[in-house]
Amino acid sequence: MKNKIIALVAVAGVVGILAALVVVPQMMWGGGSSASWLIHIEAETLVEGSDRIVIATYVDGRTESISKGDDAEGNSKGSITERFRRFTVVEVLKGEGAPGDTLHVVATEGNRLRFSDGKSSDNEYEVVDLKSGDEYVLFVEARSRPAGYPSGYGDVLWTSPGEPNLAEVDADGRLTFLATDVYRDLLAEGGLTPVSGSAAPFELTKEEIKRLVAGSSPSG
Amino acid sequence: MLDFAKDGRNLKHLWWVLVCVTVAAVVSVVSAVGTGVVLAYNDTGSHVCNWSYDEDTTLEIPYRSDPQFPSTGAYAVAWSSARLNWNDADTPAEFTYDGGQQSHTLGATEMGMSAANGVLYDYCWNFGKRSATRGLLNKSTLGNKGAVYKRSTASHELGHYIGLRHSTVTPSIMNYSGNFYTYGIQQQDDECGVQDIYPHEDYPLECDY
Repeated sequence: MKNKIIALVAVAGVVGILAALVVVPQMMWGGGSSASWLIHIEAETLVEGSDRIVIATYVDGRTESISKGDDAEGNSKGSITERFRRFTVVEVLKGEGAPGDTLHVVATEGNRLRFSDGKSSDNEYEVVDLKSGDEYVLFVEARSRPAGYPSGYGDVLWTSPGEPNLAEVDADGRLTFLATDVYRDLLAEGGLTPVSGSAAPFELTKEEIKRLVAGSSPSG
Repeated sequence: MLDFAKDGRNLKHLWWVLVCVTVAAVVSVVSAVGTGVVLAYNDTGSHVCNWSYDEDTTLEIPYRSDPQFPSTGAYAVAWSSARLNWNDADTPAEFTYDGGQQSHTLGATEMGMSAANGVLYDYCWNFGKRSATRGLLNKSTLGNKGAVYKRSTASHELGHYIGLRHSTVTPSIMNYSGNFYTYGIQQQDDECGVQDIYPHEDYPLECDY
């Protein structure tokens, strides 16, 4: 009996030690990360901040892991996980291009950082799901292909400077925005509410986009 | 009934086990109190990850270059000009260089083409006090942006670094929407935020909201 009690207490002790091993690092290094995202809460800044606005059909997507290289000691600096999404342009609302063009839009899914003290940080980012064959309105900007990125997607890649950057459009030209939880959380933090059925707190139509683009162009 | 006095070895072992259990329990309780102190958009509380501060002194915030992700060129300029502007602000907060291995680091690296423009990795001691922080600018998203945009992002991150949350006031460098990236440096609302967190008689609160 005595040995059983001692054994039970010993097991409890081991469990306690294991629990301590788990929580001690959190105690010492408790906390987390904060990331600063640019978001749009007005249609005007979204349209103004986009190089190109197109209606395009989503074709397919492919995920690539891009190494950040090694440090002086030969240790990996980490990697970036990017999703390259292929679209076929149907209609151009702002910027250059023509129906039939192919756009590769890059969306970051993950970022692994390895610090010099050996600690690492794995960051996963939400990417809005798309359906192949469906049409979307894209708010994007052109970027030269960064060093280390695969060349199979061309020398010009497209990405978005902030959210929202993706919408569905109905037959009447009304946009319904799609967005990540990050955007929704930031809206909530600012006390803003999306309009019904959309992720954005503002309404926008194809005609309004064209009007805003015409109003901001030099020829006005 | 146990008679430990008859077996000194068992008594000794039991004492060790009890000590371990007690230590683990204390650690768990203290940890439960101190975790979850994240200062960012997802923070639901008040300023809980601020710096230890004596109200009679300048709040010295140490930094150094990140040896793993050093900021060079335009990124180094962005960090340094943002630091200088914050140091000139009407607040007791002042960034001071500290090359110690344990000090906080600022740097720049590629983090993804649609990832955040800037990231702070906050590590807090229990009860919400800062221990170490890493701040990084995202070269993947800022690469084609101008100097003011980069400096605005650095100023915004340094605002978090000091202890500020996001603001809905315009103009404010801590605002996350609209044209904050055109301001370049902190605004009055940002200074008021710091004055509110770190009260100091030389820097009375300028805002009454």
